[in-house]
Amino acid sequence: MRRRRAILIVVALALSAGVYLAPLPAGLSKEGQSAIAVFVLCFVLWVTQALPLAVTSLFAIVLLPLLGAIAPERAFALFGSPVIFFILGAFMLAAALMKSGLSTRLAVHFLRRFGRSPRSLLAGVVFSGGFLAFWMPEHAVAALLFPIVLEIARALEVPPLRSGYGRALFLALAWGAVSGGIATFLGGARAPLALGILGEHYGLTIGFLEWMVAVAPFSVMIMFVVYFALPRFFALDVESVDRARNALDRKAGELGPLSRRERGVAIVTVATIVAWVLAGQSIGLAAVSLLSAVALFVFDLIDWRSVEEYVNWGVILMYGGAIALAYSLHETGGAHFIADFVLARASGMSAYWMMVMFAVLAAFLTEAISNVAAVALLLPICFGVAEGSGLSPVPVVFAVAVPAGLAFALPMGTPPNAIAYSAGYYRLRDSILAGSMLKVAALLLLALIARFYWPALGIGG
Amino acid sequence: MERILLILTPARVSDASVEEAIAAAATSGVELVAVFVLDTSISADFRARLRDSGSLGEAPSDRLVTAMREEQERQGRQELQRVEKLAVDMDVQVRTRLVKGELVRCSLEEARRETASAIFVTRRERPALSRLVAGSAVQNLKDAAPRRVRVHVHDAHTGEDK
Repeated sequence: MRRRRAILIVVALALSAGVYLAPLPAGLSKEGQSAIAVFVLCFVLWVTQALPLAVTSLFAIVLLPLLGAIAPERAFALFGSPVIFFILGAFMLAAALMKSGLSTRLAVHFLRRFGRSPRSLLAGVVFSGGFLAFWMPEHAVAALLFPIVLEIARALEVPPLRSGYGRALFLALAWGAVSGGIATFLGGARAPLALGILGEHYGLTIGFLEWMVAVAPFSVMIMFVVYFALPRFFALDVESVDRARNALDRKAGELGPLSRRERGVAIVTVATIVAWVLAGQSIGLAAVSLLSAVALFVFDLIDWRSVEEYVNWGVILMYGGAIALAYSLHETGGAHFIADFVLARASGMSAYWMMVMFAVLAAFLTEAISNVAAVALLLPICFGVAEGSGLSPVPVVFAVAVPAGLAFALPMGTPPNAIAYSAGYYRLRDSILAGSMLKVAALLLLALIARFYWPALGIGG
Repeated sequence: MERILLILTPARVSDASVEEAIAAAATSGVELVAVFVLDTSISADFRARLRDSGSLGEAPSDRLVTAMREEQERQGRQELQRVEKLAVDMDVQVRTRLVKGELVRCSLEEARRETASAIFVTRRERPALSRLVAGSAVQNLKDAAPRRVRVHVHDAHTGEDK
């Protein structure tokens, strides 16, 4: 394993050095060539995960000024992007939701309402995961639902790998969280990262409500597709879910009455969402996010030790590096050069078909690599292509960041898939087959949304 | 006395491999030893990957991995009970064991302890590219097994025996 990792790192370095040392092609500056060399390095390392994603980002931050792509002060300053602080605050809020137990209570409450028949219980898993992923990272949602769904599976005595209902339950857990995760800026770091890159490139932004109005209906539609598709793929070989209901009732009893801390976290969460919607544009999403984090401490709803335990700080480093890489590609003309080189055929396309092409690329790239990495690698190039053909950058953000969240087929595509797969209730072929069909259905829906709904909201070519 | 060793892990369970091992033990009249390996390296790798690409901190990651390991242990015990019943039904003498550790090391230790003449194992389902990049524990087991031990590999992806 170590040898393979070393080989991959050497291959990445060699490819990057090859690009850096190659004769300068016409139409590309030396700075652009340096930025592309770092892009190639990051591409290989992010795809293969030979190094942790965050470490690759740190490598990029160091290499960009060292190879002369951008000035050192600029490279390091990009770590201070407001988007990074927005994500920080959102993660702290999610930590409070988990630590207080409020998120588990919401999930159990939701599932108990739905758990009357095998089909409705399945709907409960899809929609509770989806709804929770509107307000907290989809990874966290999958993690908190995992033990609850395990208890349901055990109560129903569905045998791993041999029960259609067992398969459907765990795929519902993964796909519910994935579908809901695209609806707001809180479901994952993809959309905020895309927002950060948009801001650094063009000084433009997209509001919390604007994003939600554009994407949440699509997200809910996919949840319905998941709900209707699962019984088509897997026989619901369970007649009654009474024992699951009993398990959920027991779980609800263990949770006890709503605590002061849960109530406080609920109030801060609702107030934060309202502030993001109403004041996000005027005072900034990051400011609201950080004020919310401060409020959690002021009202003694969380302590710093818990924040340290619940938030993965390392992953934050990745976002700064990704923004710096995207910025350097744009500023040096590297993105334009790659766009001309790789996607030259796109020049004659209409704005709509270009968006569809971006969406298809993002949707398939995200199955193989982290969806944040997919956005970081694809968005600067897509901006380059779009600029050449007059497509506005805002729809490009939607066309890339939304499908980049739709990893359904492979466990490595996104943590919710990996978490659900780890339970051992379904085989890889189950998720590949059903997930690929779901992906096609989601892309067709997205194409319709981009054709008819987004233009009505002013999002279009 | 030589024995046939059936290696199972959470990701490497296949009816075909179980049936082949029981049939081989019945044909040659030897004891079957079924070992379910809870591969700790996989859960550690899973945890590392989750931490690498997700936003989960230490506490929820630990809870998640604990829940995953408990479930795998439960499933392992169930699977061993199933194998035991199938073997008894075929009049095959059988012993079962659940061990924790790394697949190759545990399998080789069990093969030595039980003086196994053959190991039956399933190659888990995953994309060929992933196998190419990350390598294969079953292949490592084949390479490291003593010459006297035959390793029968059932590929869960293709359904072929190798």
